[in-house]
Amino acid sequence: MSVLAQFAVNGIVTGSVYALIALGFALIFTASRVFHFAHGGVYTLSAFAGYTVLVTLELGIVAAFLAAIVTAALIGVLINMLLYEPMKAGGVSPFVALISSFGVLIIITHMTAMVWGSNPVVLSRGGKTTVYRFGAIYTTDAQMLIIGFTVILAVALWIFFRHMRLGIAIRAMGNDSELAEVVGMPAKRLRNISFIVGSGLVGISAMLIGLNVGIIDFNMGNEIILMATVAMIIGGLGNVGAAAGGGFVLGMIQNIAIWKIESKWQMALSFAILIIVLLFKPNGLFGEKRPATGL
Amino acid sequence: MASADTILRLEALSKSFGGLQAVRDLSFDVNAGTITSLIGGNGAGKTTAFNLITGNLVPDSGHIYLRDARVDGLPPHKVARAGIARGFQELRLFNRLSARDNVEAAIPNLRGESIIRALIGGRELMDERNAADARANALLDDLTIASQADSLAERLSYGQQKLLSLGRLLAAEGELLLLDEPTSGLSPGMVDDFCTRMRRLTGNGKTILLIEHNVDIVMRLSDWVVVMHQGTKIAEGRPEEVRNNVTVMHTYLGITS
Repeated sequence: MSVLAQFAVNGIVTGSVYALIALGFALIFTASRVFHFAHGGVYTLSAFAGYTVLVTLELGIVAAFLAAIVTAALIGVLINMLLYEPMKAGGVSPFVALISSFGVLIIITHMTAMVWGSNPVVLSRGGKTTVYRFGAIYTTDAQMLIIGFTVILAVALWIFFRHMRLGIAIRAMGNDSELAEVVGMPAKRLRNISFIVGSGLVGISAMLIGLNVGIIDFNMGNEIILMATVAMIIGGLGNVGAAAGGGFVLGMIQNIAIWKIESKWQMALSFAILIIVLLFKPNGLFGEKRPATGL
Repeated sequence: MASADTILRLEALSKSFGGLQAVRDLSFDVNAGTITSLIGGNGAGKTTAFNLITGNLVPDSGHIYLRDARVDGLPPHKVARAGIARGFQELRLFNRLSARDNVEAAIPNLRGESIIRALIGGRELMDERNAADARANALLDDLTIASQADSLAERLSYGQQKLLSLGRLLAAEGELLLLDEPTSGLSPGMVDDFCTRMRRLTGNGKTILLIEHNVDIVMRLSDWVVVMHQGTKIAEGRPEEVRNNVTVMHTYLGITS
């Protein structure tokens, strides 16, 4: 039983990060209607930016997080400004944008390997991991950091989307972008802001996962973007909160399943969950019983 | 350029789609504080004219002035900020937002719109947000749908949604309201309510440009009527003048004798 409890704690940790990543991914999707696969590349790059500041330059953990967030926000918004916006202006179909985004993911992945090498590197604060024990359950300081960050960000984002004008504007634009413009909202700027916020979240997540696992490599973004996609779909498309819920559920199931299923089946298991959810709840676990707007 | 009380001036506007000339050489003025109706059959070019005014379409030729500033060629959100608020023929709301958020989304020029200010705004941002809440609540209250403020817009009844879209329009604080058949689909009681509201709005300094099919409403409400037919203006004048205009009688009102 205590083993299961331990897996559940691991599940909360993984689920929290998946929730953050899926949330950023869904925010970008909601605002721009782009299936932003390159998000995985932004994730990888920000982890390596954090690594450079923390391990290579030894500037400390706070500077490393800042570097990861700023890098992610910058790369994310640049991809929007230089790729998606011109495509949108040119009337390119969302499908083409999706494939281009996938191309950017591949380019970033390979460039990361060119700059930082193709071997995994260790992301840690120099072996200073503290382990906490609660009865039979163990957690590390990195795991506590993850849960803490997630709780704080969840509250901050809830306030942002529910009670701040900028958040309401982004929700409005995700709902009906043409109407948003007629009402007087600067749609382009709002999309850029969504990319900044969504990418910033993935920058934080990359650092959290990197510190938790202890190693990062150039390929890390490919798997995570698949997880974010699965999370967003099982949660419910077009709803930021539902995507976060989907991420949390996915992380929980993945980790509890390790109790009975070998971890190498995690990816297959995730897609099995996706298929089962879609069979029984076509609109996702937390989605409305109606097609997502604009799809 | 424009006379003192002209709020909107259309000068020789033309727009064609492929071979179809949707609007041809259209010119008219809208005077401040009035209700001006744009009438004409289907395909007369009324909605195209609206789209040209709001920047959703760019005219092939001609100019549009709001007061003395040219607004043709501006993107829709800049036209909206310049003071033109537009309602749609079909109901267009942010369905997944609460009624109050629908109204607040349209309140212009709050500080919370910039990400930097959103992050460091502090007390001032809170005050502004509270003021926006208060403004939205007051509008919803005036429209008799205050009890629905926290409901999603899609949960409101048709009549309430119509009122909400008017609320959103008023929140935009434009001087000039473009209304595209605001009373369509409403019960006679609500039509009267809408007419009273529109008249009261002009009393409060707003100007209304109205597309309306219901001739009774046009005659009852309008200070000025512009009649369009196949993309061009065929007549304009006071309601009674237009009603007695022979061309209009033939082409639009269907009176042949």
